[in-house]
Amino acid sequence: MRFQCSNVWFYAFVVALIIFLLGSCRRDDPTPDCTDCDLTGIPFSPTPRTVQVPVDFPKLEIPSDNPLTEEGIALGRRLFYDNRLSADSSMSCASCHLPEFGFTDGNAFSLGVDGLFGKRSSMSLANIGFAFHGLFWDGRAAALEDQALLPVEDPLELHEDWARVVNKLIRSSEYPTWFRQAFGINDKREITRELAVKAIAQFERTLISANSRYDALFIRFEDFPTEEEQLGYDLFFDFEPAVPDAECGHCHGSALLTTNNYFNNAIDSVGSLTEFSDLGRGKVTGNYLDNGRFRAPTLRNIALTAPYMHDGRFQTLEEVIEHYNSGGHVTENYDANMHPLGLNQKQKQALIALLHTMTDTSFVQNPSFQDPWK
Amino acid sequence: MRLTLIGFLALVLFTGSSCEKKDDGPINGSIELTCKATFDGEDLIIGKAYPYPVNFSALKFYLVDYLLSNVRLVNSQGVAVSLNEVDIVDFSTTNTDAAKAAAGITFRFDGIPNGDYQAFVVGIGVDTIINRTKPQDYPSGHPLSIGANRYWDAWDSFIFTKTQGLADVNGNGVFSLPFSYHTGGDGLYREITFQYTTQIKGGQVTPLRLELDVRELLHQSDGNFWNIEAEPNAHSPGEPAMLLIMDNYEHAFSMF
Repeated sequence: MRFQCSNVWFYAFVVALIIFLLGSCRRDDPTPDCTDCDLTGIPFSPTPRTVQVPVDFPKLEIPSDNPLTEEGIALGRRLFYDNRLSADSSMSCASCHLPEFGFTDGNAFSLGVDGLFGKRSSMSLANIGFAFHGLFWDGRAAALEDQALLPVEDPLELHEDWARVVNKLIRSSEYPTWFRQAFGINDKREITRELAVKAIAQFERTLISANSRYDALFIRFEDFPTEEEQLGYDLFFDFEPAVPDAECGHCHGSALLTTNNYFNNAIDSVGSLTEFSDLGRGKVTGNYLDNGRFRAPTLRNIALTAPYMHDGRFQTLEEVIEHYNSGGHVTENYDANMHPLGLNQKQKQALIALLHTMTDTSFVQNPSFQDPWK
Repeated sequence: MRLTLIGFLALVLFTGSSCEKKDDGPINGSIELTCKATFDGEDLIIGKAYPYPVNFSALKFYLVDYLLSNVRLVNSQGVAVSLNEVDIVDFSTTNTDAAKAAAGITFRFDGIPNGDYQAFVVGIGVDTIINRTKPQDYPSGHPLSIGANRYWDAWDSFIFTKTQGLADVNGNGVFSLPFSYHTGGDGLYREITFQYTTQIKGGQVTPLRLELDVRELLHQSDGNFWNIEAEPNAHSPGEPAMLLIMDNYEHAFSMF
């Protein structure tokens, strides 16, 4: 076949077209050039928000470079519920943290945008602003601002590129104004992932749950517990020498109903500490004695957050109580407060009744915490 | 006139320099206190098996800690210099290997006035004043904060000491019995005075070592050791193990 000059131009055109099309499919769209990027015409006068910390709660420690403002919280709430944070615009932070499930998702493992399951169960966000010992089950993020960065790019979760998220925010008709009002940026192109997660962290710090029946009974003493609830409380905190100590308070003490510390609660039977299928805290610290340890979650709204444990292995509170009553599996680093409790049926039911008092309906139904896009 | 002026300036300079020479240097020194844990004189390593003189058993420790409070030096006139309010001495995260166990946990106390001191006092637990506070009164990271996991509502008290681990009660190498002794409550706060003569010198750091022999915490007055198999837990005020442990802190300590 004779090589013709016209064919050369044709093939060159096809190659150029392919390169152009491939280029347009790149995930990291460049920051847009824009002629209307100036935001200085929009007033910037953020309104400070003072959070009322409930009685018996610790001080809410807020980073000095991210004070709470009405505008920042509102922006964070919009981002938290915005599907544009995911690769295919199908999921948001709220997809795994739904208010009706106590800001979990009701699944053992959450499904990401690519149809892949995550490795651990979604954690409750109730009073998450008081989690001063690290976020996630293993504490790998030190602060809320650090935590919010990770799920966006996690291939098992939102699987999006932060640069693309930022571009979506810059190009949107509303977000530049909201970022201006929250953080005083002068130009659309000053929107960053750091500002986005600051806003999300501000919203999350407002997620305070302290208005359950438990609070009324045992924190504010506004009501009288039933006999069963009182028995549950005595078992939980070892208040009554005549009933067994169910040892719950060691990990779930204080008004937060968690110490936010890391424990091996004896749910896995392993021959050695290196055999845990999920090393948990140990993978973060590198200390083998931390293997199999996970952060104790808050028990607030626990009746709404099934299934339970970091891998959702227990479907019901009854199964959880049965596990603790059994003493679990002895391993080298399991918490020494784990041992067979010898609780009878009445006592186990009393503990479950107590756990049900921890449901805070006003928290999960709080209009300020719902999806602002609906 | 010129000579008079030069002479005056020289006098001023001389006077100034002589004032500087009156400075005797720093008026405060420091103490570096190293806390160590041992078992029968051997450095205590978390997770290592130690023979226990009850029924040929052995113990592994996974949590050994105590609140160290009201540390002070007392001079010959009986005047005390306070060195701390409260710190936590937690060997569970430090004594994970032989080198770390040998190094111990070091606290540095600065700003101690120069002088001769005759006693060193430590509190184990917290006194009644501190014990009326609550974890939520303290910021995160403080030894008494919620995250420190050191408050027990049923006692209305901070947990003064924790001694936890696993016991092999059959001598077969299987460590299957968990033991957990927590102490607390106003009546169990203990202050221990060491007769200790030292001179604090400005700008200098005086090393001190405080060793806790954990085995001695379980040593009864009749010479026997606590039967862990019979009573592996103590969480309620008034339990004999709590009193035993707190009373034993004094002789379980050695100071160097």
